[in-house]
Amino acid sequence: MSAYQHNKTLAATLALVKRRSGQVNSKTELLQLLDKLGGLPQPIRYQHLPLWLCSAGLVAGALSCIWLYHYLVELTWLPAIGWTLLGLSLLPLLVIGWRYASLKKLSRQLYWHNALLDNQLQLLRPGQWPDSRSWQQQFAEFDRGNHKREFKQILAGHYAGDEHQFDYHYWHFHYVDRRTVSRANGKGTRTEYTHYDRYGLMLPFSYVQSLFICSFAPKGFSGEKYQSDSGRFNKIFNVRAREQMQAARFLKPAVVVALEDLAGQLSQLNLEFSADGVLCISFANADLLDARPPCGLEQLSRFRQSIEQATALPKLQQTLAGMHQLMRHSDSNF
Amino acid sequence: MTTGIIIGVIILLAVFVVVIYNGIITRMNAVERGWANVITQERQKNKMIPHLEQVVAQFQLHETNLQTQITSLRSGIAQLQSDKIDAGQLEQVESRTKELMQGLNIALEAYPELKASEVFNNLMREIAEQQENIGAAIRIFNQNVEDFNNGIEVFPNSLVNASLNKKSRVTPFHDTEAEAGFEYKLK
Repeated sequence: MSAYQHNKTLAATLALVKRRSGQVNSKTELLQLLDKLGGLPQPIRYQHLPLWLCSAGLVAGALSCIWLYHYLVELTWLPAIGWTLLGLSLLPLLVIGWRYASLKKLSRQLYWHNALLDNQLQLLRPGQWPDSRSWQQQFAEFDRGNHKREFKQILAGHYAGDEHQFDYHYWHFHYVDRRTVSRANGKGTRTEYTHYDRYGLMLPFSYVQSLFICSFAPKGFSGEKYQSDSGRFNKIFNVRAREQMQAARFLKPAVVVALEDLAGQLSQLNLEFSADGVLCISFANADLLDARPPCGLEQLSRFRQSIEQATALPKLQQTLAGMHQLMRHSDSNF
Repeated sequence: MTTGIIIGVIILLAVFVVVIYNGIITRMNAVERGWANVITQERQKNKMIPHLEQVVAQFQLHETNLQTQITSLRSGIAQLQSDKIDAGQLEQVESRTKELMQGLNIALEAYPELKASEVFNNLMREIAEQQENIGAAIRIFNQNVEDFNNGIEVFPNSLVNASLNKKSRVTPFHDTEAEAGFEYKLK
């Protein structure tokens, strides 16, 4: 098979895999999709020799033009041609780089999709999102950014613990602050935009209401102040509640210690319990759903093996286990 | 000018001493609050004692030592004082709780029908959660003790404490039973 034919077949198969990867609903379907790549010559990679030769030829042509201009003929348009050929020689290299990056991106995309399946998570399309506007009204957490506020991504999941199970949403919130600053030379002003991201989980939590445990305060942070018995906890968190008694009942020693530990894993951690029994936990860590494949699609059989095994999202599981622990300590055993 | 500087330095020093003095008081209060919290959590065990007695009566576990262990735990809890830091007495209560837990596990082996009892299972869950809370309260107490001890021992706090506060070091809670299992000993 010629390099052109090989690359054409590979590109078509990869495009098919990429298109269908978003519709995969089970591990079996994902493995079947990978089997489509199994029929291609291994290892899976583009044949770039013609592009390397093309690039080398163009560089040689460019150097020849410059050499001719200096030593043989003094034609004024020769350098222009030389520079053009040199510029054109970059195009095959860009194609090589783009193909390499897209293959790597597809590997990561498939592996991430596999991690979502293994952790009972479903990526929601914007049309399937819960009412994020009501979230913004319900929780002070989203009272950030004077220029722009938007949700970038929402996933739905389910957690089954020993004593409690619950559905939850994982969200990624992006906000932008705008401010006007004076120019360094003192002539006029300019507008600066600063982008921020927050991540979090939304889950039902009926054991406590109207309580905000906060290490990264938003604008609408208010209520009666409460301090726990732990000096360390008080250094990390500020607590506000509609009634102090709510906070005192909820913040048992085991809960305080669990939150201290959770704050060690998640930076800028906030827990906001709404008046109608929903918990919004938020933090600055972007890597809760991070899943990196041990190898790329080039090593298809090894990649397939890694897909066959269960992929853990340890940070997400630790956070969910932490929430389960809070539920366990807040419910009644009798 | 010189007098002004001297007065300024004296005021600055006074402020510095007051801040350290108040810091030591605040940390001592945190230790006392942490201790009171441990005692409160220990007294929560009183809540489960009637349930335990109910189980003993329901399953006629009279031949086991459970009744004696329950009485011993109850008297131990009654002796704990929230206004007096007594790690030794706390250790005794914790040890009696462990004995009771062991007794319950022995009863579980001897009376398999206990496993099916909802009251017993709820009780075991409650005891486990209470023990977690006590463990956490002790950790918080020890953290507060560490902050306090650091607060009176580091320089220049040690000078302020020696001349004004006159507080002595608080001993954190040690589980000597658990420590006995380790070869390494902290000197």
